[in-house]
Amino acid sequence: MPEGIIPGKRPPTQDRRRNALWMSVFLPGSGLTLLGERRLGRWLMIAFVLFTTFTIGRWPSVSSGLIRGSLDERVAAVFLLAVIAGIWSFSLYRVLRRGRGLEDKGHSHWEITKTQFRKNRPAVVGLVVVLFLYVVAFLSPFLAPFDPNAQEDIVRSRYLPPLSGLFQQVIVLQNGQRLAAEDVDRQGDEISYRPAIREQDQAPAVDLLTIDAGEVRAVDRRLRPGWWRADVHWLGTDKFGRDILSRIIYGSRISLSIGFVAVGIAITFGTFVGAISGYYGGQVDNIIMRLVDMILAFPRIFLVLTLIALFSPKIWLIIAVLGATGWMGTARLVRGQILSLKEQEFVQAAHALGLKTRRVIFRHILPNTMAPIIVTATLRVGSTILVAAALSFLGLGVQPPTASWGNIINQGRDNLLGAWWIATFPGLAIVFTVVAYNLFGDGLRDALDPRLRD
Amino acid sequence: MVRLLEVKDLRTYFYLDEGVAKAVDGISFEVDKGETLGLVGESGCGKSVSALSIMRLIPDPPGRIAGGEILLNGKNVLALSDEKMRDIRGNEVSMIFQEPMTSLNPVFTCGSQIEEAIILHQKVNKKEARRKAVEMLRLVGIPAPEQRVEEYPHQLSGGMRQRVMIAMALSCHPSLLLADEPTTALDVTIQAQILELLARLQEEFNMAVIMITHDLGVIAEVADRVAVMYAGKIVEYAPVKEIFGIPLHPYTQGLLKSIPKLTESKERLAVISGVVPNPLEFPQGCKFHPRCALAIDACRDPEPELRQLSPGHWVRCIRAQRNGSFS
Amino acid sequence: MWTYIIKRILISIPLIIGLATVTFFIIHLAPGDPMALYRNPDISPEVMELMRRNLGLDQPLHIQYIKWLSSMARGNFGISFTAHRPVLDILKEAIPNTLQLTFLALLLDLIVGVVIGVISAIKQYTAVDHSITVTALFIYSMPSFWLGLMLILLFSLVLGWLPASQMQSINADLFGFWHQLWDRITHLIMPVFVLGIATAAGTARFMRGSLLEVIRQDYIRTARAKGLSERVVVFKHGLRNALIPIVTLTGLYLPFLLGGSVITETIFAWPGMGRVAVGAIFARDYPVVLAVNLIAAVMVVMGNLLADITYSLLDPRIRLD
Repeated sequence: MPEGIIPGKRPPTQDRRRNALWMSVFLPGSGLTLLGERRLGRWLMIAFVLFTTFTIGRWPSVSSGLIRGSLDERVAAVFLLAVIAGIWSFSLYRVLRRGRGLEDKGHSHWEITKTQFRKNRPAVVGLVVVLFLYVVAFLSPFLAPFDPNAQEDIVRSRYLPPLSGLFQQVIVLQNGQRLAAEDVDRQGDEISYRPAIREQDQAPAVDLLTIDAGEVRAVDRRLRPGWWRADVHWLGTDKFGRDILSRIIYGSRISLSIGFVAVGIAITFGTFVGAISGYYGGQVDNIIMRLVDMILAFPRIFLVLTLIALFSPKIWLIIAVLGATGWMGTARLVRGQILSLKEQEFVQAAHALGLKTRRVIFRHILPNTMAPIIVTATLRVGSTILVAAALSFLGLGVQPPTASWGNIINQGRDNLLGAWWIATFPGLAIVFTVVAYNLFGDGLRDALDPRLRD
Repeated sequence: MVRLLEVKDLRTYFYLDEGVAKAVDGISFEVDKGETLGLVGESGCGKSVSALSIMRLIPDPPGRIAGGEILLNGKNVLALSDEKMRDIRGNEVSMIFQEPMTSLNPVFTCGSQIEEAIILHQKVNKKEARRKAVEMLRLVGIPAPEQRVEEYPHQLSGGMRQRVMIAMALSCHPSLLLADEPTTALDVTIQAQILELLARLQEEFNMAVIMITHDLGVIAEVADRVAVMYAGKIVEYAPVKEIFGIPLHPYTQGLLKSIPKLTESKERLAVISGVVPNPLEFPQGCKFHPRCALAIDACRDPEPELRQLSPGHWVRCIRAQRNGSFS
Repeated sequence: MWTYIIKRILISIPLIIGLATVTFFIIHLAPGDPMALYRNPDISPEVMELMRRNLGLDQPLHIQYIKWLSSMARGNFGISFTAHRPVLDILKEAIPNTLQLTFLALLLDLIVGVVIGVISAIKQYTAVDHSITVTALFIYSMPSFWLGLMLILLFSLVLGWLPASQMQSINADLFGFWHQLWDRITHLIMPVFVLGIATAAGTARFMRGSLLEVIRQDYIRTARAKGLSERVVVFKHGLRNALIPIVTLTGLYLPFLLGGSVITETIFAWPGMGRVAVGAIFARDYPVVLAVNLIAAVMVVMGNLLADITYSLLDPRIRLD
């Protein structure tokens, strides 16, 4: 029987395949549901619809961003189009593969891991949130309602609480007339207010008008017309009138990229060192492990602060320092794995075949150690993000006015009680990001090694 | 006559995500004072679960004793409260396990672990318990017991640890000892020593023993009566001489044939083809029929009952006959 | 067992020297000129040179290293560039304050962590277990500075129950003993909580796993077969074994507790080592930075030593090596 064909399951009929193919051209994912891969098909459909509607809805910004925008906007636009194209082609690819009756048999290590992982709902949620965060980071120019550094009219827009601009007050007069107003305030017999602007682009009225209290029947609240057109400061503004939500969205790029790259560096370096230490053993191993012990004795924050303060806090330096202080765990892990695998027979067999040391390490031993390394990497991103945020908070991270979650919280300290939203929301963003990474990492670990489960 | 132990139609099931595993599905046997019952079968046939059921040590969830009676001196053990059951464990009924290396707590001394059992059931003070513990160690043949009481399990060899386990189990002079593969993890020479020790102690305390093993050699040496288990049921139940002399069930016959004999010269070992069935998916009818060379259509449905083919000799096979051949 | 302890202590000494060396060379990677701090158009170059020589900054690197190492061994960490006081004095004031926090945080970590972990394990898969797991997850995903700020917001600014900073109230010296004690306690509650709760969450999680793993062991089955009550089985036989890896975990957490003091002391204006370190780092006050780094690392090493000794006390298998 040809390989890959499941005995007992006939390939789909010609008609079905053709239908599925056409459906996939217009609505990726739909074809797959026809061919039996319902869950994957549904996810692809939802993703495709979401991204496409977004692109269409924001087409003016997307197209202008692509052609004339800054680097950020170009990247965002390209990302968006690439994702859509990717979903489309992936779905076609799967349909064609399925159409020929080829299925995953479901028994390789990778397949088993995937199935186990899927059963773990919190882990899947973690993964989805992480992916969502990266999408937000890439698409920030199109998602952020305001420019993160735009200060607008400082006098009017500083320290605005969350949901500012969402509601409008309506003064209902005794004669039934309704006046749209803002900053309604009562002083004795008089009620002062500012007329609410009608047009989106008009500057807010500055003059305060007054009305005799007796003429007013009631003051209502209603949703401001046109509130969805991105005028609302959902999470409030800071000392300079900058929109917090936009700053948080842009700040995510800092945290996510630092996390990802720093851990990547640390893992690579750690794997390399651990491999050498484990493979060569003896004095080399001894020296390296002593060094690791020594560096591990320093609390990471002390080292990072010291190193960054020695130079200037630029983002690439932060990433380098975080990477340089985080490789030790991986080195130990890899060394341990290699030490235990070294004695196993398949290594001796490789040697007997005459393979050189380096080849043995890279082609034969390392693939076996991949799994725990990946799990460690994922879990470390969370802690790296926390350390990076602490750095920004202390003032040694990304410098203002660039927004990063840590430095927004730091700015929030100035007026903790009066403007609590500045310090609170970025912190929540950090918590959710780290929680998502932890859930994902834990799920990976449980899926890869059933012995670690309860 | 009230026998020491009567197990009637015991059923122990495990309720798993994938289904219900009927580890023990209706077994019955009796043990008299001072007697040794051998419980034989391959791994997974339910013999350990049977013993754990008698002790009511089945982890719940996912397991549960789903039916039957276990009468200890006439009292149904399954109906007792947890507290009363704890009084019996280690006291009237004791159990020793297969892995001496991991069955003792590594952070407590051997002596204190034995004393714990003594103090719990015999209400004596620590000094007295210590004295008794030393006595027990001496009884099981451990040299210099006064020093050994202070030592930790990791300081003793496998054979010694098993002796400590036996000392612990027998410290309160139980009337019934459940021995779950006590020698399987030990070297052959140590095996012989342990079995001899057990036999001696059994006589000294007039204790009944249920010896659980997959090793027919051990059975031949110590058992008075034998129950052969397969897939959660007893398929043959007879005095030891008859099990070895005239085995009546095809499975028993297969087991005996597969033992290589010194006096025979053969090219190939006889095997029973096939594998033990998955307890989640037992075959219909006679559980052995897929592997049985003598299977006929009638074996497929219904499941055969135990028939007494000669006094004291029971077989679960529709084709079995008194003389060892088949209808 | 004493040989084990002495051996461990002896191994620590070259480790500490190594730490000192690493610290020294890290600091001297600095591209900035430490003298830049004092640059002042009024000061003539000759005076600058004099200051440089006084601070020992003109000598070749290896000489500086030897001098530094020998004076370190004698407890002389030099003079702070900014405070113009012996670094040792600065540290002598700051370290006990940090130790107060760290020690109490460690207690919080161990007590809360172990208790919660055990509860979680005993009630495995129930609603209690799940809520504990989720809460623990969120707690150790929180940035400690944010947690501190939120607590200050709630308990100091909104509710007014606890003081927001410092070690004691301004007029505390005038208080009677009990009042002073209470004052100190209220000032300790939030910082200790912020410092210790994340590690407590980690310990709880680990404890749960450890206990569940131990319960599956054969010797637990033996204990039950002896007729012991479930309570004795879990708390005597199970817990003793399950606590052993917690000792190692706590040793691993020591650097985090010390490092966490940097943030916590900054938020709560607690006059300890962490706050001194941050100040010194910003001011390029190298003697202080060096000394703090070194002291922190040494504390970690000593803490690990204690952890090793405790481990050998708990686990008889290690004792006789």
